[in-house]
Amino acid sequence: MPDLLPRASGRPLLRSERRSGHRPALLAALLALAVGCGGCQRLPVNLQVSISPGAGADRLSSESLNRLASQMAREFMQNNPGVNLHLRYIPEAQVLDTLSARSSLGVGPDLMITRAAPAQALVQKGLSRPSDLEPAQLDPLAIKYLQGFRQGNRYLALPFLVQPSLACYDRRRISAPPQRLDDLVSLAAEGKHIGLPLLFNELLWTSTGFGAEDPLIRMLDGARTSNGKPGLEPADRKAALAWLQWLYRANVEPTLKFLDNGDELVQALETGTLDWISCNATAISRLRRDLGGNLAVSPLPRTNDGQPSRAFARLLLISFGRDSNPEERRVAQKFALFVLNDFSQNNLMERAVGNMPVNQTVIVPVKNSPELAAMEQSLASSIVPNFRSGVGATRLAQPISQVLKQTIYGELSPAQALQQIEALAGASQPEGQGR
Amino acid sequence: MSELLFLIGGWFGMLVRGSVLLQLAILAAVFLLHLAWKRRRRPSLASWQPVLAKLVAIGVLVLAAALVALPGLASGLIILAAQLLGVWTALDGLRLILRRFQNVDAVESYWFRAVRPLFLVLALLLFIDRFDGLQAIADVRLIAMFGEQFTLGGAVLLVSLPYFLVVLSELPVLLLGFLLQRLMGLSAGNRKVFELIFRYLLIGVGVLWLANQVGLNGNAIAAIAGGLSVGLGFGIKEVFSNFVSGLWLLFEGSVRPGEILLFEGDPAEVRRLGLRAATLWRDRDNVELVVPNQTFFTAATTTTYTGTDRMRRSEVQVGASYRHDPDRVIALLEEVARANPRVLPQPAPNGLLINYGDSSIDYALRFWIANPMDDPAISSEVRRAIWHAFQDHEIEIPFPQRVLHNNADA
Repeated sequence: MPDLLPRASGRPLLRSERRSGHRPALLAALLALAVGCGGCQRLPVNLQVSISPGAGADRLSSESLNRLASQMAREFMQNNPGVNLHLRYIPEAQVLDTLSARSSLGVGPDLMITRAAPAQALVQKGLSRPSDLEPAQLDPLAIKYLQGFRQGNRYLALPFLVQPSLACYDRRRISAPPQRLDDLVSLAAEGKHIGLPLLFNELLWTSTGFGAEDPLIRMLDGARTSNGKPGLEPADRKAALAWLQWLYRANVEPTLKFLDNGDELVQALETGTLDWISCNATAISRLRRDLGGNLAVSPLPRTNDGQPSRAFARLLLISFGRDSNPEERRVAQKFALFVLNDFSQNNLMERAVGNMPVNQTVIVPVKNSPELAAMEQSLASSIVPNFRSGVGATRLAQPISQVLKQTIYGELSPAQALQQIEALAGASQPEGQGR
Repeated sequence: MSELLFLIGGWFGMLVRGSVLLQLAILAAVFLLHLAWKRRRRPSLASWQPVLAKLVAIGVLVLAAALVALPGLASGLIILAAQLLGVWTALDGLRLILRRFQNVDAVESYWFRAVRPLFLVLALLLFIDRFDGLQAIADVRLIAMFGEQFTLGGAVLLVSLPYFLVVLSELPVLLLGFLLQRLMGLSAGNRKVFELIFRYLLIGVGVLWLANQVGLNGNAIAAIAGGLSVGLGFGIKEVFSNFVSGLWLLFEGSVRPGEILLFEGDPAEVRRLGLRAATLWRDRDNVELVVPNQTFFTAATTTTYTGTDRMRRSEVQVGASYRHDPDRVIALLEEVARANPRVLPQPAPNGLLINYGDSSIDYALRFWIANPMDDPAISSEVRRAIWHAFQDHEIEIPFPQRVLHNNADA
């Protein structure tokens, strides 16, 4: 028979209940803390935003983007009292490891701005979660490229800004930009110094005219041949071999140089070592600082049959973190809508040179700016990576670039190089995961 | 400063996330339980019980992390804490093992002064790095100084690095000194000189690196140097003088750790030669004398027993009656000295007749000993042996005496 003690409310209290009377209160307090600080509604919402816009050639442009991001954050905080935005810049090479480590603690960011390949890796690792924004909120913004990130009726990431590829040259040395790929080689033969990047995804535009671009992109995205194996169909293989042979022959031209990355190309144009380079639009501000009015930009040369070359454009994406509480998530989505609205997108386009809006309601003043005109023209034919297409070429860019390097220096024959590229594509896609 | 407050506010936002709070609650519970156990048992420093208790705590944390991860909640904070506790436990175990083979006081001193603070600082930095990125935190601007932004990272370095430079430089320098002594056959004194100089060098380089890291530019250093030169002229002249004297004495080799000096009439061993002062140990009353370095530098003479060798010549004086043959007495004295095992046989003990006194013929017995600090004890032994030898050979040690001549008899 348990020992009963009198209780004012009627039901007698068991001794054991009395002894542990403080425990429910403690547990309740802990639970209240654990479920998200119910009593803290009036505390400011602190939003963590990580930004990894890339490195290398666009370092300076990234800095200007970062400055603008800080400015936008300030404007957002002014319009939303009680919200604190904390921006953190993480180098692209470290973004996956860093965010993975933070998320394992439960302190991952609420919002992440990255390029497409890291954004897809974040989705695959479960470090980001789809947007909860409704079509009614997104439709008025008329966001370009959005469908490439759709999963069911939600979006895994939201396009934020797009950075097209261009041709940058010194107008003192080259009066008119080369119109076709052959013109580029001819220009080199005339003694003009031409520079191309040896980074696969940035060089791939030269393969458009050979008909190799789309098959290579498809293969690197995991597509299988008709016999179910990773690789290229015979006709596509022929096209790819023709492109690799062109690369090898082009390198024979002494004034046509292949440099390791875009940063080296930009430096060479700055110092006058090169006269013409293929560049990303984000390099414009840096080049403008050194070359001033002598810098000219144009779309990349067309194919030899007059079709526009299709270069990869860089796309910055907004992803939502998985560790946010409901309030942080709500504010994160509000901030995403803020940076995608006409005002912010227009602001970014005008002040962070090289960044084009994804909001289609923003009018690009092409008549006032030849640079914007070139970017707009380039974008029209660009390949903009999304989670369905183009990310593989970016992800495998480094190892394939090594193969290309060996090809242009004659260490590998084009056939051997293609074999290695196919092997890399196959290795990156486990059996049964091809599309 | 507002940037720092803003940053801390951001952390608070992350800390009140449900999954983080749950992990913190688990960590706090395990910590409090461990603390309660420690208070109840009060284990000694030499006990293995705390190590076992920490292993239990690690087990509990790993189990808790697994339970938290089951519904898909974040558990990295608990795992990180368990990992750090694992490293801490391993270090604690190492300390207990070292206590068996090394000097306990030295092990505990290094543990409390170096290992523990360093581990805590590194653990804190690791937590911050995982939490929000160390670089972002280090770059937080506090104030502008000499035209440079003084950052949070610089402030932390400024506070912590000098301490760790001084404390942590001790062990590697000792190891290097040991290695050099073995390889190059350095004497103990020279080894200590080398260790001290290398340590000063290490600290000096560290301080310069620190100045560079906290953003002190050349102009700022020039300004500080200008200020210092005024300061040297007035307030810190003595400090600087002592520092330079210490360095000079090291090079000169007259006052090195291990040397035995005659200081204020007593032999004293040099224990340490610091930046400002030397620490001398006096045997007779077991006191440590902290003597400013410049005392030795400016003194006309510094008497050392250990300059060329460590031998000391001691002397005992005794008087014997006029009726005894001096040759016999001297032979006996030398025999007594030779009989003492702590008196060196070479150079041989030497008896001397030093004076014809009023009451006695005065003799001196000079002999050599190996350790200058043993002089009072050995001299006492020799004096006692002389008494016994004189007793055995019926040699009188006369009292003071005076011969009175009575004129009346004449």
